[in-house]
Amino acid sequence: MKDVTGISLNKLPIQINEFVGVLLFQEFPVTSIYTDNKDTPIVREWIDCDDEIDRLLYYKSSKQNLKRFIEGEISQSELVKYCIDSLIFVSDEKDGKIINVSIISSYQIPDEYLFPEDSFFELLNGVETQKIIDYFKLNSLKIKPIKLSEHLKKVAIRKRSEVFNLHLKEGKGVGHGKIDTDVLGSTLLSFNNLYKEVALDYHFGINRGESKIPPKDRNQKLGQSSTEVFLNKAASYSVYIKPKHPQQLEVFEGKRISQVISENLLKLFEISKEKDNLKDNYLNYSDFVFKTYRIFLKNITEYDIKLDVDWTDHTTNILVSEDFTLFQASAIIDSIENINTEDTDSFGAKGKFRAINCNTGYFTFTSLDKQQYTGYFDKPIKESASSLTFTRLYEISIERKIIKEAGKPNSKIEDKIIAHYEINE
Amino acid sequence: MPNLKYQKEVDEMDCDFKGFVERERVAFRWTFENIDDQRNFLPRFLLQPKRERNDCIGWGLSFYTTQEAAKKRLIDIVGYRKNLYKKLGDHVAKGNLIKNDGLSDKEQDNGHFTHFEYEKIDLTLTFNVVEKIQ
Repeated sequence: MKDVTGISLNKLPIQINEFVGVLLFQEFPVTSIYTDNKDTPIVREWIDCDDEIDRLLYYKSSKQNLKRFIEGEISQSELVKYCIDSLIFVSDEKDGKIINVSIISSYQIPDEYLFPEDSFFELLNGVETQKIIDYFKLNSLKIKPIKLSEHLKKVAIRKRSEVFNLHLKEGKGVGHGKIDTDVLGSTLLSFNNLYKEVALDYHFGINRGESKIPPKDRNQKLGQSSTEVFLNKAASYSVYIKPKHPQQLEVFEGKRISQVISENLLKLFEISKEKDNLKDNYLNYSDFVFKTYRIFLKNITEYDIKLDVDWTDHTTNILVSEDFTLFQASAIIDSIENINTEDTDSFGAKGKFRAINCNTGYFTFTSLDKQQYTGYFDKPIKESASSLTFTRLYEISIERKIIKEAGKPNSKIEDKIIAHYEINE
Repeated sequence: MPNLKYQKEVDEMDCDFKGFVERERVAFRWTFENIDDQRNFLPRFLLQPKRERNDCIGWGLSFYTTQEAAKKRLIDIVGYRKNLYKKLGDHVAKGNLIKNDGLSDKEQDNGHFTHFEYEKIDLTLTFNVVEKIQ
């Protein structure tokens, strides 16, 4: 074991009044919580051993920091660092009996005994967590919130991934620490679907609707592009999300694929806040993305949610925050709906008319190569429709308008006959 | 039903054995290199101060349903405390638990389950070391 230099005693100089519970782990109690006669938490950490001696650290912690640790706001490394009086008691014990105690400062812990920076508490590893929370009444303890940017950054480091925080601040069914299942469910689902579509844009391009992507390839990329919830917080209701499979491989400019996908999603949020900006950048995203984005926004308007979407990554110091309100979401939906693109094309076809409505000018025409065209006669030649027959062969000139509405994957086609000639069979 | 190996200690506590039944399953446990090492099948409470013995689950043995789950969990718990292998073992052993061996609960999401041995059961006879972890 490592030699520890400090004031040496033959017993602990702090009074341990009561054992409260094991915090970590079920298989072996590495971290246990005790208390003194003033109800101050005392943390006991198993740290080292040789063949006969166990080495343990004892330190007093504030209830606030214990709460922060259990709620994942500070790491175990910080829990030790911020201990009361900065005093750590290093106790060597044999069969549970103290052989020697060394008192050291929390800043003098040997490197071998320092907790890693990412040593955050995971609820699944907790043993008697609820018992500890109840004993110290941690749930009723008000603590000053730690800055979101700092916390999100810590969480990203801990998860070695980019992290989204969906913070539902207000809305129907949104309360402090609780939220209606349908509100949370539809918010998460619509966000996940939007994320997936942005990811598919990255993998297959924005015109992927026109190309045949093998289902196997599509499903594989979809599987790699979903998100997962890994932490909930009461504030009012905050959900932490990360890519389910954060790729660690850098693809270009030092960025990873999942990072680029997240950036594209955040850029969509940013550009859509201004109508002109959205119009200028509209063609950078597929209609599938706009369709799912509209659903995401509709969810916000339906439940009247005030939503913040925050993002950071473990490799950068950047924190991106976008906020949505009912008013903003409605405005973005309007902007999306007002963006239409229109293409015009002209071509000819030979064949026979199959239906003509002389009053409305509506026609159905079947070409020799079995293509069917429907639409209206152009106004100047509408009257000539009554002279056409269904048995003769005609060559027609069609003006086709292809109208693509944002958020609708399928284009609308409008055909108009601008000229027709009878031809010999 | 036979007595449990630590029946006397269990009787002194308020134990809830709901969900614990005789089961047959392949099981994996952390052990030391020699399967006959006397530390291999000791319950957690014997590694823990007496004052912390307040929940009778500690008289059971920890097992995992897969070798991978046992390995991952050991590595996660040890973390930077490399000497913890000296307490928990640095190998994984595999064996078949049969109904006559005792009572166990349903596995958790991480594959862990707790098994209370019946008295006179010697699992060193049915378990073999299959992997070295460190």
